[in-house]
Amino acid sequence: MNDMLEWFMLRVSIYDFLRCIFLFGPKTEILASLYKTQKNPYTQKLSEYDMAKISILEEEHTRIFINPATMSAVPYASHYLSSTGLLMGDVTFSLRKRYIELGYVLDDRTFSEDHVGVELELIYLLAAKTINALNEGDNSKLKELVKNQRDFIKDHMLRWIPAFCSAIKNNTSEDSFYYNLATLLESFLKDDAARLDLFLTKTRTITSL
Amino acid sequence: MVNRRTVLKGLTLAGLGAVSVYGYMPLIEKFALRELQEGEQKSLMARPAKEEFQVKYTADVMCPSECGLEVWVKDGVAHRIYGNYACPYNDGAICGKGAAGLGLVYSPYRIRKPMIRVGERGEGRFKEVSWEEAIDYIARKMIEIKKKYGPESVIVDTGDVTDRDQYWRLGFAFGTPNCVEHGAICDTPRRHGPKLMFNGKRIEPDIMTPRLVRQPDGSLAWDRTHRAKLIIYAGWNPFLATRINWESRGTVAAKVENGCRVIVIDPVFSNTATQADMWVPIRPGTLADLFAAMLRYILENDDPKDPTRRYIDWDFKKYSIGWEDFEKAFREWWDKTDPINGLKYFTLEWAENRTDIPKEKIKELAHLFGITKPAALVWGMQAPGHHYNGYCASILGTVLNVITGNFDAPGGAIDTEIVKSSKGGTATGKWMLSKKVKRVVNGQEVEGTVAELHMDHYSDWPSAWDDVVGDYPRRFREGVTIRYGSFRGHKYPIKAYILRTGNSVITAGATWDWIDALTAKEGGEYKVELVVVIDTIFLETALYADVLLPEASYLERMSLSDIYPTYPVIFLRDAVIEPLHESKKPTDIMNMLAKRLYELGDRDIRPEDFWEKYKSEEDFVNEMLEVAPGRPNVGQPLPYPQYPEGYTIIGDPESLEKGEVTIDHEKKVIRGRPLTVKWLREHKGVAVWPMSWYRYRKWDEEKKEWVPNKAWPPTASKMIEFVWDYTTTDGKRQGMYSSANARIEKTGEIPRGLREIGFEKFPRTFYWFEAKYNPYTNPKVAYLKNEYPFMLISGRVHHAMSGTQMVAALGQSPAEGTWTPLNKEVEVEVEDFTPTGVITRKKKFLEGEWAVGTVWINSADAAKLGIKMGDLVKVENHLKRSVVGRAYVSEAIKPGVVKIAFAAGGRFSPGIGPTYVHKDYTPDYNMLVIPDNLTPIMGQPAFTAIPVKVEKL
Repeated sequence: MNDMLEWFMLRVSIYDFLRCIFLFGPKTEILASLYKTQKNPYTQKLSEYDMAKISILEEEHTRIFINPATMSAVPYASHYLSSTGLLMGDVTFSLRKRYIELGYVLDDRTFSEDHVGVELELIYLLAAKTINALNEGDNSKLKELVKNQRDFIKDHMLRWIPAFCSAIKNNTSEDSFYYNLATLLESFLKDDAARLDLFLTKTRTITSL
Repeated sequence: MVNRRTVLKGLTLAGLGAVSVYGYMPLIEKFALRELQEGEQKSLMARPAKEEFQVKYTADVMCPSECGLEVWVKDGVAHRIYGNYACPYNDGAICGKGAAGLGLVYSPYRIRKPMIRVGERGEGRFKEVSWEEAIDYIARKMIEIKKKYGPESVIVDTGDVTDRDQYWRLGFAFGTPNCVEHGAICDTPRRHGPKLMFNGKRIEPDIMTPRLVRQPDGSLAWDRTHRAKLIIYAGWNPFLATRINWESRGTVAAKVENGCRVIVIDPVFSNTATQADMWVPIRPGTLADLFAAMLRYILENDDPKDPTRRYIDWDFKKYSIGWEDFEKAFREWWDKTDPINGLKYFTLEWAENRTDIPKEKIKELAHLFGITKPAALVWGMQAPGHHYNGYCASILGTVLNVITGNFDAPGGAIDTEIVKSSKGGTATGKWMLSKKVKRVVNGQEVEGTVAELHMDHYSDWPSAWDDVVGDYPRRFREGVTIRYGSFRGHKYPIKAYILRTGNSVITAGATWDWIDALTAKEGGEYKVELVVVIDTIFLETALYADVLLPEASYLERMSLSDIYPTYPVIFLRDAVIEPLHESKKPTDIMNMLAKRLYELGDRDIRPEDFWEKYKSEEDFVNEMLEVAPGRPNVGQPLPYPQYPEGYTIIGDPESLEKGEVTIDHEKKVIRGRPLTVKWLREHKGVAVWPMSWYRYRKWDEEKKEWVPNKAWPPTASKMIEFVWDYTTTDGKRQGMYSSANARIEKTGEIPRGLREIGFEKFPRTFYWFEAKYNPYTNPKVAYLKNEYPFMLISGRVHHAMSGTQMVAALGQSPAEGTWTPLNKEVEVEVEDFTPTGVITRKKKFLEGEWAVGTVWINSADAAKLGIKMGDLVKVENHLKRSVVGRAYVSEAIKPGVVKIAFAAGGRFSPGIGPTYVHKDYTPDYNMLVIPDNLTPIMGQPAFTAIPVKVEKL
């Protein structure tokens, strides 16, 4: 097993963790996964968080992302990428189209396509399929999947996630869970994009992994 | 759902030891995305890139005008909002605020999920919870309160009038009669005259076009003729405040097309005054004085033989009862001397002294109004609707319209409440109020109806037909003592306050008093044990909630709009998009809470009254429509000449037109097919029935004259009533005050409001009393003007109302002197869009770039106080409550008056949008409202005409 394979495996669990924490808020089973995840520099800090304090995290989650009176980080891409800052505009629509092209459609209408958790879920699902393609030795499928993920991260997510993460960091203390979560999200996305890029430019076949 | 196996397959079959290494499977087996099935992708992709827009018809709620809208929807998303041309109410027109509705619907700052408070009330700390958790929390608490104190301890306040019926139904079924709405803090004094005299509410000029009118050949045609010759708007600013769409259009059209004169009586040169032929500045709080002088002048100077002084159309006596009594009571004041000025009541000199309008001008107003026909005298919401003695003004204004022959005349004055279509019917659940219940009072078990537990009608405010929300802080502290009816002597506390929309803390009385009452504790616990806020947007009152429930926005729920038309028009508020986020429709919230109450053992809730009956909101709205239009076939031209005159009309316009009806001669009802949501959808969302005028009279072929039709107005006598507590020839006690007076007589308990003005019961006819805190008319408080020489008034800025300020674009449009770009330079975090992506950074908004709530003051007054435009000033009342704001200095306000817009400043909910940023130097008007200054007849706070002082900071 080499670095790239490790990376492919790691990203599945990290994207799953990220999608869950943003979609469902801090739940014990989500936080517990941090202990099980392969040791890595990204989740290290978060896994040190005292799980007994989950009610603090629940309140923090509401404060930062839900409660209109205190919300410091709007968790929707539209807010950052549209000229009006409103939801359900062109940004959401182009995403809806893109999801269909990638084989998915939004099922839970309490979210919208541009919600951070939904976008992370898309990558998670594609990341899992990537493993499948590796498994089946389907080179072209693998490349296509990796390319799709890289493109989605690079030309969509990284256009707004840094601003989203800054908004979180500006309203949390440096040692807090959500500050570190923001660091994880931004740095992992950037590193993942770079890794996938590298994979696409350097790797020719699965056997050369 | 994504197939779990799809995900796992990759991991478990990887042959790379995925499971053993990472122990991995999806953390939560719930997915927002679904993998497309074979072929599905192709069909979704195959859809034309530019799918046609679907045009859907609905009704606005961005303001109380509730205009008919067409919304362009694509892929389930609303893209554009336009006016609905099929709706005569707004005739295709909407304002910028209506068009900006998407800014609210798609704002990320909506309440998106249910939340439960985790900090103290007011701190704004909440925790996201599921709907089930939130509903369970509310239901358990409601049941606990019911068991301990009785269901009447729960108040259901649907702060907004719109779409409230589901919540009332639930409240009534639960067993509380205390279900109220925004009307209680709107303008009850203003509505009082029409209410007493024709069971109406609001008199408006006959300028709503187009009207559907029966033609001599039997056909129906749209009539766009303007007939009004004179409109007097007294304390009424339709161009900026409550903006009735057709009134704004119609005022200008009547001027242009019919040479109609417009007179505006207002302490400020309002937006409406800019379009007037005459602006008459008046001292705040003295409209009743002006109207009284106009009436006296008209009575003293009327001469039927002189065409230049034929003010009164004496025919009105045929259609009314009690004029002699009213006139006598009115004239009895004429010889009395007013202690404040030594002048005889209601003379021109007397009115000049009080109103500060030259007596020649008052005479001119009276003469013009008397001689010009058709005309309409219209008075406003802030004045006199917010005056302590606004009741007197409202009664006098109504009388002036009636005796001059303008009431319901073409081009005259129309009471919109009693001509619009009925709605609600049994769906509202008011019938549940007659349910018998038992209470132990003074050790004895007594039985009575749920209605008799009402905290106003059977307690301190027996004639508060619209309830008394302004008195809640006291009730939260002191509880309720039932003083009349079966439960006399019964006491109960208020333990739950369920507010659906609305923003009581900012709008329902003194802000500080509300906060104090909502946060008051007893034994470490909050006195009001449960506060629930159900809304789409997060306003100040939400900060004090224990539970927050996200309600579907107005584009996501279904109901009906029928606000203020001059004839029966009703239009559908259709759900044109699905509820966003986790918000739910009122019908679903009602059913969910009802079901949980039932599951927890509350057997007052019956499944057949809720979830079994209303499977969808359409079921509910269809029931609301069953009574439409519910108005009698009266007036000229007769709406339905093919049917008996005076019979009540029910059914959709089509079936009535085609004669597909049944006629019940015993009940005098003509019934076509019931109007339904389906029918409305097939007719661009709108049902329109024919208009007529003189709806109180009919032609007597034998007598060859007009006679009362005895079918309308909807008073007990079916005549216009100048007396409000009288006995009929067959011994029945009738009139709007009669039942309250009967209660007072039986118990000897004088209601607190009446006691305050020295009345023993509600007067039979004309009455007069002075405002509690007007130092220019009430000798008891004359001393106040020395230290508090200014009179503070309020007014609404249409586009900056309580909730919709969150649409920043609206907030930035200046209006009059109360919403002006006098902002401080602010630095706020905004997103900047660059070619490489979005950068969040602080951005400066310079002075003068953003409209904020300001303090409007006259230039001469300002000069005396050394105040310049933009200076920070303090406005303080005699309770030493004060606000600060920047001064807007201009000639366009009467000296001695300061004006602050309602709910425009001091907005401390961060959820309100950009207005919040300026909260520290913009004034919250209601901080200056005096809590014990409740208007004495119906208890609404006297919001306006408050003595204050102003100083430069």
